[in-house]
Amino acid sequence: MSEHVEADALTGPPRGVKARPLLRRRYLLPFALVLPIVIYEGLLIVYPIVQGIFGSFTRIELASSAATTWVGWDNYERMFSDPAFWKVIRVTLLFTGLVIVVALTVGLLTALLFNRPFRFRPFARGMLMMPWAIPEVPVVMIFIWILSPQFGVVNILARMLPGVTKNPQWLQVPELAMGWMVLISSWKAFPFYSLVILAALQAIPQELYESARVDGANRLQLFWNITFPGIGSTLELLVVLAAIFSFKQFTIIFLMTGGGPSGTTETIVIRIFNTAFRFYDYSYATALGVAGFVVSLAVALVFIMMQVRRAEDSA
Amino acid sequence: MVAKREDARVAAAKIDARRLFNTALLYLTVAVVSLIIVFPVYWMMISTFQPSKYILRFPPPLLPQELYFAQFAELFSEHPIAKWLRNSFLIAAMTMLLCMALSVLGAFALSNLRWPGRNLFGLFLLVTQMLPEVLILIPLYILYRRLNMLNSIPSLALIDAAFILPICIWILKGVFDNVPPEVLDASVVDGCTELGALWRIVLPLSAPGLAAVAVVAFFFAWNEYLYAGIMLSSGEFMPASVGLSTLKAIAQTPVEQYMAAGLVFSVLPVLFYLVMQKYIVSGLTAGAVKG
Amino acid sequence: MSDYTNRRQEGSRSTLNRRDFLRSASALAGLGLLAACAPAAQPATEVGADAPMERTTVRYLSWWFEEGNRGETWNNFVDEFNEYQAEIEVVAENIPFDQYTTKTIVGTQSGQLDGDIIMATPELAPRLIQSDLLVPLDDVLIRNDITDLSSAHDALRKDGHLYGLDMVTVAFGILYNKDRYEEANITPATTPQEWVDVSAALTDRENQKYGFFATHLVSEPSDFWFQLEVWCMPYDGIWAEGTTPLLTSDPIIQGLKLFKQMYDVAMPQGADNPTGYRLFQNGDVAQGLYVSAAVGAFTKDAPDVYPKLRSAPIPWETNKSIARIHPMMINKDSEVVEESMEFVTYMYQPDNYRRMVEGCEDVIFAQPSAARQEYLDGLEWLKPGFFGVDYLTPFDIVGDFVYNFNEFGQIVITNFADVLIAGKSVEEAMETAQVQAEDLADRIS
Repeated sequence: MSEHVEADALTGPPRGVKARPLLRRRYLLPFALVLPIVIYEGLLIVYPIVQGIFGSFTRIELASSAATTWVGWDNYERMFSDPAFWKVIRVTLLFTGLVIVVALTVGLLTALLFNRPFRFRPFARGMLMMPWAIPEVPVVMIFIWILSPQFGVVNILARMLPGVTKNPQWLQVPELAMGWMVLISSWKAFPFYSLVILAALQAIPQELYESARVDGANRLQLFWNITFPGIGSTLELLVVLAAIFSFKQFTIIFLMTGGGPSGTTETIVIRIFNTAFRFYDYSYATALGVAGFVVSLAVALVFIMMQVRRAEDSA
Repeated sequence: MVAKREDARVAAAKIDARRLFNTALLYLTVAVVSLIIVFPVYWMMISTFQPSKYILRFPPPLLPQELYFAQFAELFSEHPIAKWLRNSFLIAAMTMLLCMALSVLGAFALSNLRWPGRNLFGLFLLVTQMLPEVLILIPLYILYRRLNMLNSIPSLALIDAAFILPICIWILKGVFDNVPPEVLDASVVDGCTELGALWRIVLPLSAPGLAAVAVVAFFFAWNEYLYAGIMLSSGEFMPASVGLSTLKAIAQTPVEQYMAAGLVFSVLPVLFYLVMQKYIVSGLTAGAVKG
Repeated sequence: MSDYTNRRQEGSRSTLNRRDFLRSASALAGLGLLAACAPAAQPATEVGADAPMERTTVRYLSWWFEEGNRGETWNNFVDEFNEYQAEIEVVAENIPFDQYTTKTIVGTQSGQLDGDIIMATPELAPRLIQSDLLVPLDDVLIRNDITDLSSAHDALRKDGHLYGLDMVTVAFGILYNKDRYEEANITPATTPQEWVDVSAALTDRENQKYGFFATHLVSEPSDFWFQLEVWCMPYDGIWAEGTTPLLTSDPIIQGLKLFKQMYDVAMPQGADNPTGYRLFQNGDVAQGLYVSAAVGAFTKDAPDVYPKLRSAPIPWETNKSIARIHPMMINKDSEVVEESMEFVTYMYQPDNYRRMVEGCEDVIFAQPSAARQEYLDGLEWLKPGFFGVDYLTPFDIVGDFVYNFNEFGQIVITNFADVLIAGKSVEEAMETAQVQAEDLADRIS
């Protein structure tokens, strides 16, 4: 993601071509290098995607003798006129948006915190990454247990709040369920973001801070004028990554709420799974999948545009 | 400014008090944050190492009342945990090796070589990351059945690697970008081939990147359970992620034994992370920070 | 899984395993991975080639080979059959229940079912039969001279042929812990309202004592719907007739109100299925709607509680409950249909069938004449709740939605959950559900 490399690639012949013999010799080499990757990804990812897109224009009833028939845009018409679809989209955007905000905010704050010197810092940083290293299924197991209305330890805290006299049903009340899905997904994801931001913070030259301090800048000013711009491009990238990861989040939601209550945590991935594998409505599921694919492609395009603009700015 | 108007001693004391307060606040915040991070893990341990009579109670005791270890023996004798873990390990290790090998090629082409189509290749990789995995489950299954590749651990590793490879390439590209072009050029001028330069110069400088790729690929395959559940029909090949969800379905598994299973399943990735920690940090962050 | 099963599987598959492993290692050595892995799944005959005798392998897929006494019984039968003759080797392959349906569905979509002999749930079976994926099993009855096959099998016929043979019928009944009844000085209820009162009397929330538990979380949709389907019974209703949903009909509304009452006064609210089960094992939950096939599992999981278990009479006039049959079927695409048929025939020999049912501690005999009175008399929990009850099948209560059982169920439970949690009225929730179910009917007919 280095800036000058992008600039080279996107704005014509690279600067300093002559200094780079790598360019001139053996044009075939890069193609030979990426060919196995292209074939591999092409066969196992792109080909099935094409199949999926094709499937979305047919009617396929899983485990049924009905022949596959071409139905044109029927599945899409049904999708756009289905209020449940729009609800799923709203839930997906809400969940994705909240996870981006929560995970990145917590990631940023912890990075700022852990960037300050204190004793046991290396140890604390090691701990910080723990949630990232624990697989999702055990994470689900433990949080289901912590949130159990009968035995869950979180109820001890909840009972301290005024007015709470019985254990809340954490995963059955719509707002609480969505809140927990966001918190748990963020708990699992923020260490990674924090780590990356931390590295970005440490790459900011200390002299910038010193000279600003000499000019009498206070802490907030230091943050807004030096820290934030310094990690801006990193944050931008992390927003995209967080968007992709949370958009594809399946395990935690599927195993903890199954999309409920009342569909308030049913993101598009859950919907696709249910439609295809529980309701046997495969072709409609692929139409949903294509919709999801288009949405995430749009996110990717925004990201690419940002990169291009950045490259142009710096060129 | 303050010191000019007020007594210097008082000012110094004030600064001292403030510094002390700030330090205390810092440690307090660190403590709270650490608690939030660590508590669920702690609670998993608590629920594993106590007999269930202490856990099946409200409010549950916050400190362990009695240590108990028999659940591990029960777990291993009642369920083929060892076999599950072995399968998970094989899948994850194969995925890891494959990703390491292929991502070196991809990242080198993407980072260190200039060629037309480079952007297109980058875009291609990005697009493969955009779809929810569940979307292509059935087409992939059909493909696999045709190729007679169902029910085999290496075949599943191929799928896992295909899903995570683009991210691996991206991570490694970030690291390769840090290799100064001048060094590379010099080596080629010295009569070294591009591949020679990759082998002798880029790779030795990029060990953290490879470590990061290894960990990311390993974790992904270790975690994956949607495809593992469908593509491997024989219990012989069942990995721990799938096995664990069967324990969840079996309501009668005692709590402490169930939690023990979760713990056992987490141990390897956590250890792997701790061992590689030093490299992973620089490897994972190289690309992101420069961007 | 018992140690025994574990060892058995290791033994039978070790050749395949090692070969696979070597192949994987060599595959990784080069980048020709795709090519190298392609033949990794071995054709059955090659496994046999290493064995001393040429046996034909038959793959038998089910979810129950690790389920306590049921698993043990089936593993023993597979071994017994393999010893009993020398040509066929039946291999038991366990697939976790969660994945079983998904996997079968994926298989059918790819044009081919996996496995030679397969088990099916009551909802999966009609789909498979409709799709012509199975071999008729009429021969099994002829060869074993069976004339009294249960009428529940009517649902497994198409064009005069029989496509599945029941291996376990699970019937719903009210199971209770007799100590808890005695402590509270309670006798089993005889009307739905009495049932609620009894359950309330058994509940003491402060001390974690509950009168009743049923799965009620949308995160466990299959279990929730599985249990909720019974609640059309108290007031003698059905969920749907043909393609017409009857969700706003009086008996359904009444039945769901009864569930809501039970939830309010007697249930551990928000507890998931495993928690509910554990509470029952501890004696903290006094009663539940349990299927007959699950009772046997207590002998192993909770030997202390098992002797205290009794069944209550069905507390509604009609004495109706639901029975779900799980048939064994043979895949039409199998290359070893004849050999598979041998095993199914063996299992359905009246004597073997009886030993199987008894081994699993099941109580409903698809061949009534095979039942042994002494065995049934020995089960203290059998009467009255699981005996002499008038059983209906899912077909009878959800009509044509049996082909879309999960989706129909999802509509009901999602809307009903709003009643439990969000305080919506049953009438209002079911009105919404009715509209959604009608949409579903339009789509599938």
